[in-house]
Amino acid sequence: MSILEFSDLKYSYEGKQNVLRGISGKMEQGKLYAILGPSGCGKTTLLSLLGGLDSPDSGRILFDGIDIAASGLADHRRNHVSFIFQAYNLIDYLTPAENVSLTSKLPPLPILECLGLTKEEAKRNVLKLSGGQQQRVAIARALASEAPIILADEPTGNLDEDTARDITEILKESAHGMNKCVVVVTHSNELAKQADVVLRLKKGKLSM
Amino acid sequence: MNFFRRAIRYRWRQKIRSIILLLVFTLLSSAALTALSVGHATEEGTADVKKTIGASIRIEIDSGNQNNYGPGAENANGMSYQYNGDYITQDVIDAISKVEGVASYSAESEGGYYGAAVDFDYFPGAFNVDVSGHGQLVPYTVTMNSGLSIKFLNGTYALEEGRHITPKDSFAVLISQELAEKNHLSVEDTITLYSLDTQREDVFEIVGIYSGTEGMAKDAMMADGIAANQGYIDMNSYQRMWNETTLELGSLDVYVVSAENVQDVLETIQNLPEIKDKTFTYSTNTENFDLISNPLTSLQTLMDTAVIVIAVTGAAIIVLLLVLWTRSWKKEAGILIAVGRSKVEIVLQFLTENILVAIPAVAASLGLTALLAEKVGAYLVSQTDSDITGLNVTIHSADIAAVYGIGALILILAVFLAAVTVVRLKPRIILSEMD
Repeated sequence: MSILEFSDLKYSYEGKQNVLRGISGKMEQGKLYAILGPSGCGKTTLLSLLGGLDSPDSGRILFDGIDIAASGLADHRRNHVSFIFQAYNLIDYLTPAENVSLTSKLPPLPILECLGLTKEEAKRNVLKLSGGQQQRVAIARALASEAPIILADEPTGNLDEDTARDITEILKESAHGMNKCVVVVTHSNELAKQADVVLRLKKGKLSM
Repeated sequence: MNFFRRAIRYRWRQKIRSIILLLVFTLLSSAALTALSVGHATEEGTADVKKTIGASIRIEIDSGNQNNYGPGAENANGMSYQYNGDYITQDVIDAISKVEGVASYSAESEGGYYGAAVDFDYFPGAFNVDVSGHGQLVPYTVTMNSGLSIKFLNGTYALEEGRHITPKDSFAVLISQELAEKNHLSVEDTITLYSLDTQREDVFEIVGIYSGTEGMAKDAMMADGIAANQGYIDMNSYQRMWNETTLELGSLDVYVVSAENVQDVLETIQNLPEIKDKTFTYSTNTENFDLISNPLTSLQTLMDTAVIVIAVTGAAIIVLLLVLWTRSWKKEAGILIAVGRSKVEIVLQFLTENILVAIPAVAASLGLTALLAEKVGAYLVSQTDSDITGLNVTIHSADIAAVYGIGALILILAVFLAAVTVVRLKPRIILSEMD
């Protein structure tokens, strides 16, 4: 059963018309989705709409059968989705543990240790961590939220090959092992190869 | 993690920003509080001047009118004429004191009494000629109310111990601190003075000791030219020394509450039954008031302007700083929105971060103002043409409430202005601008 369903989504913004031209799709828990497409085709826009960061010009997005516009976008962001960004987007004056605590009341240390950070690293300033470690913190924050959907925008874009492979494994494990619906916007073919479903966005249209 | 905890961590870990903001808040609020306190002190000073000096009315016996003199009598020195007109008596004074608009009254005769020190010593002059046989004679100001004497009003002298001479005193004296120290005298001690005019010794009780003669020259030709030797005695004892049973003054200065209504008060006084047909002359004087109050009024205007300038500049600086720091705040706002935090919570965090700096700034600025306000006030007054040597600057609770109340409003407004530039945007726009 699909946890996220979108139908006939259309979106334009100032300076660019018809970024999305009425796209539809369904997403299920326990699967890793990869959205591919050329730069500027609207991948990040689609992710923002699915995550409740913006509203479509028309069309509907349903979470568990309920329109997220009706239940409230802030509520959707708080309870249903969690984000992973290419630039990590961690709060720089907080430690990794405190960044994870933003989304969860659970102790942050176990999840950070699961993702390969030591106790000492978990208490350091996030800016003193490597790019890969920062992205692990961002993933830990997403996983700690217990939201069933993870939306990742170019999560391996700033990472070296080995680290990107590790992160891809973690995302895959999040989908298959933790029963999350993981949607990844990427340019990486390596990541796309690991996905259960690959969607291509081109000229405002989505295709399998 | 709630917004309050995040605000505390932000303030603690962004130390440089916190210190800059703390300094800005402290300096601005200290400057505003100092300006307000000095402004109020000048206002109160002006009011005091107005109340005590204000405009004054001088009532004098009409000694220049030939009609008030009897036929002349010849004596060894030539012809002498007896003044037969009216004197200013206690009844007249009592009636005047009850007139609405009269603040106080005093009669004073500078150097009206010359006394030789019988049981104490004056500072000696270069030449010490003893014409009385009891030592050198030194002038005393005979006063009904020493607190209204110009040197006390303009701050040249300040009462250090005891009290001022009042109309009810009899055989009371005020001496300088220097003379008291030289002779180991204190309040309630007595001194004996000899007058060559009355040829009698009289014992006076020291009711007050004043400072202000320090630094004044002690190298006069005679002891009577040394300010530290001179003092004040009361009017009643002067009357008694001359064996006058009733008070009969040649002049009386009446101080009115406000310079504006001096003519009305004069008219009322002239029409009092106790005065109406008396042979007195009247004149009004606003010169002293103008001399002292005008510089104070200018200073007060300066302080009022300073408060407005500080408030406007302060608001501009705070808004500028907060807007400058909005860039990093925008990133945090974007992240928090992405994890589902509400915009209200984000603005509250921003506000709390600033309140956490404002609280110690309040304490610091209160301390700084308490430390500096008096000195700033004294410095500013010294830059005016006023004879006043200082102001009694106190920090009023109303000023504290005004400064911190307006400061809080400015802070909330600044936070709102800085925050609104971010939170009005769609979350996706904030995040894309971060990228």
